[in-house]
Amino acid sequence: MVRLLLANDYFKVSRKDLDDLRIKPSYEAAEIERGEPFEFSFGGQPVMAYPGETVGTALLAAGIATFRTTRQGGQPRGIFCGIGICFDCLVVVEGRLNQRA
Amino acid sequence: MVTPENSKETDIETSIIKVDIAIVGAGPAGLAAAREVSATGATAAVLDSYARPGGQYFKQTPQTFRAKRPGRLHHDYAPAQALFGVAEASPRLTLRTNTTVWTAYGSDNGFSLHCYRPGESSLEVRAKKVILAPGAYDRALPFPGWDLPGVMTAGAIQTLAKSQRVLPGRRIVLSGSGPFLLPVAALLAESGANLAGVFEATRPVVMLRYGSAAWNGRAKLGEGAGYLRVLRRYGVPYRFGRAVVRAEGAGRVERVSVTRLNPDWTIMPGSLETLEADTVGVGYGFTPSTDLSQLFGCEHRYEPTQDASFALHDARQQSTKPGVFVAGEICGIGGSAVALPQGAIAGLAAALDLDPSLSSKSEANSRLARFQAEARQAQAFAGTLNRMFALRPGWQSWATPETIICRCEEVTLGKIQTAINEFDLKNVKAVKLTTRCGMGLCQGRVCGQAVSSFTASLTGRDPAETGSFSNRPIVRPVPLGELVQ
Ligand SMILES: Cc1cc2nc3c(=O)[nH]c(=O)nc-3n(C[C@H](O)[C@H](O)[C@H](O)COP(=O)(O)OP(=O)(O)OC[C@H]3O[C@@H](n4cnc5c(N)ncnc54)[C@H](O)[C@@H]3O)c2cc1C
Repeated sequence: MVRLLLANDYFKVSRKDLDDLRIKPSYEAAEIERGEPFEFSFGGQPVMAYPGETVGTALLAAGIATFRTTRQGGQPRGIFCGIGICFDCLVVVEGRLNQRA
Repeated sequence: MVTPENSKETDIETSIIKVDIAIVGAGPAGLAAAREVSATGATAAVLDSYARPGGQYFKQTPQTFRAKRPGRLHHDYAPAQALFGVAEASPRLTLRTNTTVWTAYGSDNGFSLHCYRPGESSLEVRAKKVILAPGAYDRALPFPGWDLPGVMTAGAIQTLAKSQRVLPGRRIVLSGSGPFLLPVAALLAESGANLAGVFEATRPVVMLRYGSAAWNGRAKLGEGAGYLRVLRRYGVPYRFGRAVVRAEGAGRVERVSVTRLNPDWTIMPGSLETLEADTVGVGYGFTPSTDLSQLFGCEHRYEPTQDASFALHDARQQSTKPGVFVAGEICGIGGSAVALPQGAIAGLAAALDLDPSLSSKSEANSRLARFQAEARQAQAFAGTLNRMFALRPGWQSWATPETIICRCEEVTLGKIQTAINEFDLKNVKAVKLTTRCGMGLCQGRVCGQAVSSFTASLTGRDPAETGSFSNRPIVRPVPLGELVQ
């Protein structure tokens, strides 16, 4: 249990990769190659994405965990089920409301 | 042959295809069914909501991601490719992805399935037989902070890492029960994630009790041992009898509380520890997607060890509704080892029913018997695992009155408690109508099980009496335009 509680120095030390959560090539046994990246805008902020990625992936990769706030409590929500059943990850895409990210 | 037609009943277009057999779901069960059907001469349409076939087990990366060494994408890569190949190669099969069945009905002339396809005309599939293989989704239990961004299901984490090749966060904790946590943990470790701990709620004593029965599933146990070796290699702590029971942070998860659990899963006093993490993956088994089988009027049976109801079926995977076959997770949580032979049985049986003079009938029947034996053996092992990792009722004590239970309608446990006491509510339906829980977009998929359990214990009644959310004629949310037709 002790090692669990040692606050991992990860948060403090290795900040160099903080810009991207995509799996690093050194960990890609299948040697995945993504296509040409492009940019979109999320609430005014530019976000980079690769073809085939979901909106949710691109946002998470950029460190954005909150996609919307709830109607009543104004609470933040992001990805929850990841398979299209919970509707937590709703975003507006090019004017279309309630799209699952 | 598959015959596309267009009907212009209103000014919105509907395409109609007619096939012998409609298969809902292109996971292991649905694809195995399609493979068997395609060998018999019958026509079939395989329908799936996702962009690519494979379901949960054979989840694929997007088509635009090119893998130089695709064999390394999945430890069952070859069988998966064989299944995908069948769907692509057979002229008698049509595979429709991005196609969600949102309602369906049967009549004397057969079955009609209505599908929604984003950005395309809607589709009606008419068939003489239906095979339902819609799978399951993973179960999360409510605890304070489970609605914060950063808390997600173990399945969501797996989908992100396995298919989208992205890590869910910078420091991850997994919590839940059952064998599914292990492949997710191993995947994260091997993908370079910082995995701060994996917490299995079930205590080792309970596992030992089932030790000898588990021997039936040596092969699967071997797979589990492989995952454990990966965790050891990466120094990931794997702890039993513990769970994440609270998540906190400003706007997203920043830390979690891990506790030791009593045998009934209530919190062991004085054992709470805090861990820094920005992501929590929770997975307490699976809930079957029985909405379509309910809609068809198939009979279901409540299974206490899994706290869910499953579609009843005979040895040929036919449900209690003639012509409707069921396979895979909606018959009992069993993973791909059960889903594959069950799907094959359903495909063969449906095809045999259509054409009793099938030229190779005796061969088909002996194939059927082989798959039945395979399914039985896999089910026996799955049953052992399900009993071993069954939920214990103490999880209900993790939530506080402020904890949101219904995420869509933002209904707290306190609101449910008050409603039950104030109006003397006796069942889940009344709780739903009074509090709106389960009335949101997910249609009660996420909170249904929790609401049923809380209602039963708060009213002091049996879950069989308090019931569950009733099913709706529309099983998946669709744009209004679809309904207008
Ligand atoms: C998120 C998640 C991850 C999992 N990962 C693993 C794993 O790594 N290893 C493992 O052994 N098991 C895993 N499982 C367990 C999994 O359920 C089984 O292994 C296996 O995939 C079950 O096969 P199936 O064919 O019954 O269902 P699934 O594989 O779930 O396939 C069902 C398919 O039906 C489709 N569908 C459902 N409803 C509709 C509808 N109304 N209209 C159109 N299409 C529909 C779905 O899109 C899905 O593709 C996972 C389960 C989940 C939920």
